[in-house]
Amino acid sequence: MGDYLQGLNETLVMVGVSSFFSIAIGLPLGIVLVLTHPDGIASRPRLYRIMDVIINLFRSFPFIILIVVFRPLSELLTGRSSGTPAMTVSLTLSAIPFIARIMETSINEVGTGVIEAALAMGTSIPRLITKVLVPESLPALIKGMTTTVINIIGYSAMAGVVGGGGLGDLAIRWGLYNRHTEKLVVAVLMIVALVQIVQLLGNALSRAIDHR
Amino acid sequence: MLELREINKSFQTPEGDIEAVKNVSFRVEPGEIYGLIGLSGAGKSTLIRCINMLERPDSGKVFFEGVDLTLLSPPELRAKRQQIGMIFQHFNLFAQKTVRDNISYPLELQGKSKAEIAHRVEELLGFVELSDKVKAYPSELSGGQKQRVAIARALATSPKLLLSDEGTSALDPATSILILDLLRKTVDELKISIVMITHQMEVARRICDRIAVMEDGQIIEENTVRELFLEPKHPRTVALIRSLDEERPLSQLGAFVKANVYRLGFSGSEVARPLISELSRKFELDINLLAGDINILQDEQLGWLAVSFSEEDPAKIAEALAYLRSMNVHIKKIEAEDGEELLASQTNSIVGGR
Repeated sequence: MGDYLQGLNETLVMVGVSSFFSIAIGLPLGIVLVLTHPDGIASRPRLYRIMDVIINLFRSFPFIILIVVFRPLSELLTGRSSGTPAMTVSLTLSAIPFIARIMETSINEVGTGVIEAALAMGTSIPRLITKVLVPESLPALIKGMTTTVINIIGYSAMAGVVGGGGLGDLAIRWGLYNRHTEKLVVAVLMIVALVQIVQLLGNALSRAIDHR
Repeated sequence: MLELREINKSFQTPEGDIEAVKNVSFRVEPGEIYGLIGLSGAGKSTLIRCINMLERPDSGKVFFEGVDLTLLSPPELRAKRQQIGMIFQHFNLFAQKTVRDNISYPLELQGKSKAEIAHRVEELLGFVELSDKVKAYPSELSGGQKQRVAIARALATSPKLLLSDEGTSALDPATSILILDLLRKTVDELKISIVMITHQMEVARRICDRIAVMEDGQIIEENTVRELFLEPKHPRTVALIRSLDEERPLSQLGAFVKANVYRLGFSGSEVARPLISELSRKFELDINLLAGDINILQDEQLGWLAVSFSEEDPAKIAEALAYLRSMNVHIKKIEAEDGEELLASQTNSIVGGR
């Protein structure tokens, strides 16, 4: 029992912290993508192109490779190259490009007509972001964040491979390698339950605030 | 109040440059509704966006109350834009904001106090007759109601100029009339000017003071509505006026004349008969002739007339209709089209515009 609670605790910390930081960085990045798009309001085609390529590059790497790639950075930031804190850094960095893309897609759901109307009323770009783009796309943003958190839960389960702790670690190291099948099953069920809860909450929240 | 001088605007596309607006100049006087009419692709949308710099002209000047908007810095332009309202074909309301918050938005941009905003929103909702919808979201409103909210939002900052980009094109005919009448009321009561673009001559005719006809990025004819209809000079103008008669659904006629409308269809020899005057004499009826045409088919002529009777006695009308039927005239009673509450002032609008 203690194993499971500790695993759950580690997973929640890992997922919670990396979700928070990756959204905090990915959302502004998504906004920058929308604005600098060749057809965007503050069109900077070359900057957009560069960010576009970098994001695609990082998204195409398997996560397990990214963990290794980000290890030196994790060590620099947390003082360790393995364990839950190091894993959280890797998770955060890997999720950022993913989130940026999802946030970009969500914000693009705000129609060009609405943006045009806001500009015609004399809206500045900072105000456009805070008063129009974000509030108008909030339901889509929340759906996107839900998808992201679920992805991070999935990634965090891989943490076991590098000894990152959490439910995934429990399932792989104790369940799989040491043949405690019941630990494997219970840990996996807990991960499934966690994903379900996040999905349900995300959908409910998104629906509750959507007035379209 | 507004003057455009030699405006040019072109777009680069993979298929080459498109000259959307070519050397267009016009003036709009205070209190005037100025209509830009043309088919899609004529450059109207680009031109109206050149007025508030949503599209920056390649060359030319836009004077709004004596200030050349093409020379302003971004903050100066934003301040000027707050003095120019704009409404759109698809309303472009903020879907996640209530009616109140939609209308408050431009006032918040101006940094008005909460109390001022609340007072102004109430005033505007009264003006567009939607006071009961203050807490509704746009998705809960009909098309006509959405456009009225959009008009309230556009008028919130008391602009001197209102731009309408196909403001009634997405609405059914009866609702269009309500919105057009609201725009006319706006000009008359608030003493502002409107520049509106439309592809419907019917719309332009109903409320515009002057009309400019656009084709291929240029203004090919400009005149008062009356002169334009009396003596259209350019073939495109003639075509636009002509299409009016063909496009107007008969179902609208009833709403205009506030009486039942009957479509009388006849063929062959009846086409040549003076049916209406015969009917009028025989039954002592005053017959209002609303529309009509003769279509020549391969080997036959088919004619139709839309009429209404200035007569209260249904028995007398029934008698007349029975007589027509005996003359092989096909009669169809036309139900007036359902729209939003029709205003009372729609009489005799068929011929004279507003």
